[in-house]
Amino acid sequence: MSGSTQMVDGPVLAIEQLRLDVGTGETAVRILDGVGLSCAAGEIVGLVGESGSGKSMTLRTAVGLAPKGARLTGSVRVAGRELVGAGRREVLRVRREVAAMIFQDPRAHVNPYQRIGAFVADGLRRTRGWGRARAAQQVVSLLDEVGLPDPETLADRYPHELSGGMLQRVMIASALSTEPRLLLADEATTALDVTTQAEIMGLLRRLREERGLAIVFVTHDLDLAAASCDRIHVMQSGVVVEQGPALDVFERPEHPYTRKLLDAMPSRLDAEAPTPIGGAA
Amino acid sequence: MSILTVDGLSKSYDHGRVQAVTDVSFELAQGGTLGVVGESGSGKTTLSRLITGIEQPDSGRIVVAGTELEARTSRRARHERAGIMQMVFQDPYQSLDPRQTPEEAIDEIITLHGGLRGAARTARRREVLDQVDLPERARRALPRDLSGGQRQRVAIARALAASPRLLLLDEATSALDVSVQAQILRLLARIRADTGVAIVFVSHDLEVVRSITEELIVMFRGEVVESGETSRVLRDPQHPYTRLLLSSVPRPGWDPDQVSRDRRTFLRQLA
Ligand SMILES: Nc1ncnc2c1ncn2[C@@H]1O[C@H](COP(=O)(O)OP(=O)(O)OP(=O)(O)O)[C@@H](O)[C@H]1O
Ligand SMILES: Nc1ncnc2c1ncn2[C@@H]1O[C@H](COP(=O)(O)OP(=O)(O)OP(=O)(O)O)[C@@H](O)[C@H]1O
Ligand SMILES: [Mg+2]
Ligand SMILES: [Mg+2]
Repeated sequence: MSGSTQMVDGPVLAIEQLRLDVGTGETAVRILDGVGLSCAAGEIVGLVGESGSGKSMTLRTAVGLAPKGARLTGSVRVAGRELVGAGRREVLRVRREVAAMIFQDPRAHVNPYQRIGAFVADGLRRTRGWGRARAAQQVVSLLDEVGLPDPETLADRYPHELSGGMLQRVMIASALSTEPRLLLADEATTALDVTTQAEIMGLLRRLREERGLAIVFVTHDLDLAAASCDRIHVMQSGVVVEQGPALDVFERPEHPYTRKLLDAMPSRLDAEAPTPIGGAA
Repeated sequence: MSILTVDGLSKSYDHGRVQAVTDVSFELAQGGTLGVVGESGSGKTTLSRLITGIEQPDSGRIVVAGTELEARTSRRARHERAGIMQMVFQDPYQSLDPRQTPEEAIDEIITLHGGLRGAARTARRREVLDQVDLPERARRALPRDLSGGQRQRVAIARALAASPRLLLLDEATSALDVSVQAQILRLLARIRADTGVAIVFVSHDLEVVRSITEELIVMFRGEVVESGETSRVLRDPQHPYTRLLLSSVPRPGWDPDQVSRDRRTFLRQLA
């Protein structure tokens, strides 16, 4: 074993021919069918597509969080380490040293009885062995960086006392706390107003420039994807149906599903917008 | 006639240290649509929770279908209220019982609020799950085995199945791809035309708000800073916060750092 995750050539994330099956016999289903996706240092790769097409599942395989009983074939390499068929220690190591994920449903991924500060400090204490006080200091500056007001007070609050978008920013702070090289952002800005979203995107862009952070960005907001991503992958029913530089995909979509998506963008919907019911004022 | 009247509503937490909603008033006509937009943490969800009676206001009145909401209510009154209004929560796990499959959740609500049984119930269940385009396999899975957008669609189907007169949707379409989202928006428009349901639509997506609502309120730090006809507010915003919000929307050439600078300028002017 090389023992090092530091210097590897090639992309930070390389997924090839990934298949994921769940269930057995009659109820067996293929969730991912030959997915390929890569993300290099300093790159932002957008993953868009159908609800239920396997975007979250693809990201989860890169942090070893496929559902229990799922069968994986193909290859998922993170900083050169193969995760398909890897043991628990290897997976934990990747999570500790390389990859962090921002989950789609923040409330399902926090402990309701743990204070915000302690939650964000967890990663720092685990990976760096920092003491309580030192970690607490860093937590306040992380919370500040994601635009949360009054971070000292906020660190003492519990998840239920935060709004949806505030908790989402806590998740972002927690994912960034260990300075990962690969960030898997699953709908990381959907609960944010567009001004706060811009703050977060600015932060991510800085991290990619300053630290070469590699980012896989799942979103349903095609305007945001077009404005922020270098390359785009479009998924439908467990398959990547189209990929390419962001501008090409949006300006010259080749696959019918990509075209269908672009046609359904809210900004292009006006023609068939519901006519208001008269006399309701 | 108005289905919902909110008058001088205020709510604080933590012994008044967090002012979540401050003196909010508006009226929503039967069959009307109200958009609610604003900063993260500005009180949109709190406002929705006050209207549904999950939270009690510190002051102010809420009148739904001619009846003022009482702080303490009987089971019967709560059941009646649920028949009148339904809420889809920002976090779909809050709308769904983790031990219930989508089919079971829909069955429960149509038995409770429609009194349907047997074949009629099965038919109605199929109809509502078809309307939100939930794949067959997902209908018998537990919420934790669904994708984010599938959970959200189940929550919407569940609320619609109760045939409410007032529907509160808190970021209810944010986890849907734009194609499914467009389908849900068309569905809402059709149900509105058929049944006259009134809709409160909380969202960060200004384009969606533009396409589905007639009236709009803009919230900032617990207060309504601007209100009016949706098309007017979005075309000709009066309040500096609304202007900031509109200028932040991602578009080609969008520069997040410029948005940050504009935001700091706005906050400085505020102070
Ligand atoms: N734990 C699980 N066990 C079995 N099937 C699952 C599980 N989680 C998700 N699925 C199924 O796998 C498919 C892909 O789900 P995934 O969450 O990756 O979709 P997604 O593209 O992220 O969708 P969305 O945009 O709605 O979040 C869906 O059909 C879903 O029902
Ligand atoms: N139970 C609670 N205890 C203490 N504070 C709370 C509680 N619920 C909400 N708050 C606070 O009230 C304020 C408004 O929260 P709310 O959830 O209404 O915001 P929101 O507009 O829905 O935000 P978002 O767009 O992020 O969902 C926030 O500052 C939040 O921290
Ligand atoms: Mg997902
Ligand atoms: Mg909210």
